Amino acid sequence: MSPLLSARSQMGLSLAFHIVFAAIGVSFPLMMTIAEWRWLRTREPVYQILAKRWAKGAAILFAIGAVSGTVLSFELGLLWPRFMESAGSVIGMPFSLEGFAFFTEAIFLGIYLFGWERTPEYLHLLSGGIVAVSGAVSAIFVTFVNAWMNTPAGFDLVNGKFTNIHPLKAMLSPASIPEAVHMVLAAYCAVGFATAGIHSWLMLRRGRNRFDEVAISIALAVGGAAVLVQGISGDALARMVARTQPVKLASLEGQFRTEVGAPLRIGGLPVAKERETKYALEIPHGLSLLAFHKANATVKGLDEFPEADWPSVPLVHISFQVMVGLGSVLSAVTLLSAWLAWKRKSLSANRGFVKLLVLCGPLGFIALEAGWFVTELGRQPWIVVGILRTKDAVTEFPHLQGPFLLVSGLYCVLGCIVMWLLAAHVIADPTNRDADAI
Amino acid sequence: MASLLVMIMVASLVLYALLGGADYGAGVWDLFSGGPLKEKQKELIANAIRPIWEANHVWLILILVLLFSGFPPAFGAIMVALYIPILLMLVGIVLRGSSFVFRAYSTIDSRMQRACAYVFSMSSCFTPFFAGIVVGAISDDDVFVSQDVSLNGYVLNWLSPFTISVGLLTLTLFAFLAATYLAVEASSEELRRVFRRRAAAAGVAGGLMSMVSVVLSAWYARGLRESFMRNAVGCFFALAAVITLALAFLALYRAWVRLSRAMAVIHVGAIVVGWACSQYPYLVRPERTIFNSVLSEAIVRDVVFASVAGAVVLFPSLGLLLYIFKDRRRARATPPTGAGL
Repeated sequence: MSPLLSARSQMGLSLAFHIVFAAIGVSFPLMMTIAEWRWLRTREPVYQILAKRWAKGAAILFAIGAVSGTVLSFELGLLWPRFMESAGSVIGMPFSLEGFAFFTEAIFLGIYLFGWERTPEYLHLLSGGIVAVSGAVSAIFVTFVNAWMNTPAGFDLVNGKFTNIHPLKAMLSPASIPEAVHMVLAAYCAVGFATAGIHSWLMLRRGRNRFDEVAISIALAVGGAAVLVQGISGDALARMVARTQPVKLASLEGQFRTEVGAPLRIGGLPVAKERETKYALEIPHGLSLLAFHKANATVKGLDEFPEADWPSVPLVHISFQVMVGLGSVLSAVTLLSAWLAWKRKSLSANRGFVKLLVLCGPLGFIALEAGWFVTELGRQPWIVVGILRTKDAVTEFPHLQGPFLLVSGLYCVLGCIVMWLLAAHVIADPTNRDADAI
Repeated sequence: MASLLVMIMVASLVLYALLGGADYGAGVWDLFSGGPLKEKQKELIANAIRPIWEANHVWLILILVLLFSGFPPAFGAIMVALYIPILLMLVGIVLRGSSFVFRAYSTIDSRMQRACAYVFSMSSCFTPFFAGIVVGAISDDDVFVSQDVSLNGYVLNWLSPFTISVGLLTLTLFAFLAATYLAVEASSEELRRVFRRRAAAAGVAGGLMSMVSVVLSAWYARGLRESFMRNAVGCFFALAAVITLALAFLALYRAWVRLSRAMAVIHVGAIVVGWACSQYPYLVRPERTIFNSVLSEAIVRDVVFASVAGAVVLFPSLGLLLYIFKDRRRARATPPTGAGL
């Protein structure tokens, strides 16, 4: 493994690991708070038990998120010191603000998780609300940093050095708002569907019960609302990419040649050597319509750019197809459940629908990871697009394979233990206490 | 403005030592818990850190972020030259945090629980040790980085008797802090006596390690030592550290646990501030000072403003957290009655 590949693999692995727990940190508090708010409004004990049950599961997941986030903030410097030395000041503002948002989240999370008996009800609910808001805010600030790496702004480049930096302009680069909104919605969607999936599976095992019904309805409401809005957000993000990062757009869509009225390709395998995306289902004018909202807009192809500036087109294209495909599946499931609810059919009485939810459980997280692959792989070979190449930013530390293996091993073990504990606590609970308690 | 940002970073470092450091120290005592009260000790430790450790941990991230926002070249030098101790510290941070929550949830399997408890207490020991090594390494004169290559290699530039003594000093200071906190929070007189005894032992060890570090600095950290000798403020804080340590011993002997906690806090704070004054104006000796590491004055100013704004939100929240989990418990605990060690 070359040093660059080791460093990229370690960073990629750390991000892919952290993003799961970070997403949970963003959306779980919202669901817990909704459950607790329902308890205070209706005084139906099922909501209180649900809030407590979710809070218990959250405690493990938050802790892993906090420590894996710490690893990432150090890895920025350990693996990419040249990036941090030149750009540290530019991305310092969103990171500083994220630090304070994360502080607020950690403080009120402590109060929420361990303060049930120590705080008045309204303060407890308020703490949950603050955790939900500050979790989303810190995700937004972190995504701003990634957005800046994609569409750098807010500085003058003099002799390769960032000068005359405007922190606010840098923080609000063209990609910032679309990317941050997309990330937060993705977190709600992934965690909402995963939670609904777990409770559906529990319901299949232990029969219809109010506890799982309530859990599914809250999780599905959060995840479903998010996935529907995600369509609009994805459109805005794609149009921004079309405007600012034509190479990335062309890779997403497998567009090798510049075309007027470019087709939308569904599926397919881009073959870089032959400059062609094979086996794709092509919808005429689709891409021009989606990317520029004009049927005959010109879409730049990869051919217009030197091949040294291309990302790995097949990987980016396939990840993008996976993300969009799964997003569409989840949107369809959401519409189906909305239709069933509108027909006043009890969702949980319909075993087929419950089974469908189980199958949808992992899809949100797979889409989330695929989307992260799209933005990160699609940015290559740059660490800061157009300014600094990833290979020029990597550390000179001589033995990068060692740390990569160490971090991989550590995260494998942690991932297995988390899965085992969740399985032991949630899924293999033979006593069925929650369902019986009501 | 750069000095102001450094003052904010030092304040964060003090708070990290006093809050986060004590959480590590509590883990150290988990390793040493034994005797008839073993389970009670472990329970006290777990309850003391459970609601607050994640928040306390954020100080470290804040220091890191302020460092790379304000002083990117110094940050780069640390990350290149001290790659190995920082990586080991990170592994410790991950193991400590995850094994702590895993332990709490693996009640179903006692073997797993014991393994997690062991990992938790071991990583609580070696994480502060490596954090101390990093502090020692930026204070001695061996970190030379040119073109992102460490000129002194990647091992001998941080491994020396001096850095090891600073690592051990950090460990003993954290253990000392934690023992004085736990003595206040202990629910029974016997438990309190255990932690008073441990606080005294850790205080002795900490005092010894301080002396060893000062002596070794004559060979390994001359720049820091000379700056310390010339610096009246640094000497004042050193004197304060000595006096508060003596008062802490007296308070521990007399079972004035709250006074001993206050003295331990001032003792550790004084050592950190005294070190920072002697280190000034260096961020990483011998090449990187505050002044040659600022890339953009405007950014430093904006980050200072952001930190002040953040502090307005942060401190009331932190106060609320400590009030909910620390103040009430103190009210509930039985008042201490004087007894010998």
